[in-house]
Amino acid sequence: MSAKMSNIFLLRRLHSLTGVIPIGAFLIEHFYINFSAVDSPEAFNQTVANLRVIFPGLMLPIVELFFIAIPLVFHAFLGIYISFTMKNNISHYSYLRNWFYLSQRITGVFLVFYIALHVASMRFGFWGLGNRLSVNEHAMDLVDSPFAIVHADLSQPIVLAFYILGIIAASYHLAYGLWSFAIHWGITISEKSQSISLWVCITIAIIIFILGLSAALAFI
Amino acid sequence: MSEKQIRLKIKRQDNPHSEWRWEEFSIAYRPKINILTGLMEIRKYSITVEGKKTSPIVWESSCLENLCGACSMVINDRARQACSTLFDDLDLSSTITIEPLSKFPVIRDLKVDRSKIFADLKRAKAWVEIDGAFDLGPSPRQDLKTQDIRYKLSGCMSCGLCMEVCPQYSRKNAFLGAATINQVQFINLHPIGKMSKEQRLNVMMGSGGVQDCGNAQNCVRVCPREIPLTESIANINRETTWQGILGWLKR
Repeated sequence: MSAKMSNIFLLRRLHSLTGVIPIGAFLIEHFYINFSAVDSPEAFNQTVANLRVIFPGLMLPIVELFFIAIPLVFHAFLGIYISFTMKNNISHYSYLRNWFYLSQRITGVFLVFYIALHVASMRFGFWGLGNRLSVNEHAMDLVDSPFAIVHADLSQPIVLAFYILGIIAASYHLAYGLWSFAIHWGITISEKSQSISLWVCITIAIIIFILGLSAALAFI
Repeated sequence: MSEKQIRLKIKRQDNPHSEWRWEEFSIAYRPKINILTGLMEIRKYSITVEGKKTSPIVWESSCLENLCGACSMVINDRARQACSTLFDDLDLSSTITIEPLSKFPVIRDLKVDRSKIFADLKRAKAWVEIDGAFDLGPSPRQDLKTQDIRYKLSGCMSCGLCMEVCPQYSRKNAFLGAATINQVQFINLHPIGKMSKEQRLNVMMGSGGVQDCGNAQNCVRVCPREIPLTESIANINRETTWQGILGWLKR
């Protein structure tokens, strides 16, 4: 008897996998790179310049397309579909894990909007105070540097608030996603292992959040 | 009226196609009575609090000891077995609401049609094969550890509460629900059931299979038999990872 699986089974497993690798891995890398701004504007500019050295020429758009854009769009579209299969009942059953389940879907849908705006402004240069370039295409002098362009955006309170919401949502969504990844793939099976991994994931959420928040605040 | 009264608000529906309505009743309080006793009290007279004569309330119940799964209802917004829910456990200062399960079609009043559960068990082949044209001999021995695990899983009475509280289970999609997934795990652990577990796992990877579980884990919180449903689901997840995702590497 050979294994038969439906497309939706395979897609759901891919959804779970792409959330961790490469999207989750990218989020951590992203916050880690941005965290260099805590040191100094020059340090951030240097880190961005180093990225251009690691991924020269066409390498950068290829990596961006295959390791970030395609998995992200797939994860987003299937995620929106999954969110709309939900019949939320938190008002009747306000258990903690039911709240987590609901929050995963709320943060997911919010992140689709957030990331769309974030990528449009920072990667493609829309709305960025006349800026029409990607952050990493900026010159290295301090007036028109990557740091300066992010600073111009984040020093507006409304933009900063939006970014902090995005950081909260992304930290939560990745950490809970790791918890449910472990269940979906059959790694954590017993209730004990699931409650331990829940605490581990809560810790991960807090660490990612602190990393992301301190990076964002360094740009003001 | 000096004695303490219990007020009940019951969701009524005359037939599967008619509109539903609320009707309120009042019964005398007695200690340690369950919801079914209360419903039987109402049925003695079938008179609402407004003094209007109404039709007798219809519901399903059988064993009265939390073993058959027939009397599943939504009591005060929470899915429960009406037999093992005592009025003393509820807040009697406010009106108690009783509704039929919402995930299954209503036949009349509190009685619902749960034949989808049986259809899904059949779809998942959740049984142990018996001998065919000839005697296949005795089955392999079941070890004590597996017996112990299977004893916990065997308690399912298909009451439907896990499905009622599941935010992923609905009449609009094919999701099999926690009870059916647990039943597959129960049969897959059986020495004879194990021989055809691939077939059942294929159903678990099919439409409405285990992938539709969203890990809200309400099921395990309300299961009247305290079955470790989330562990059964995670076990099936692991089995489908081996068979579906990694299985082709073995062929």
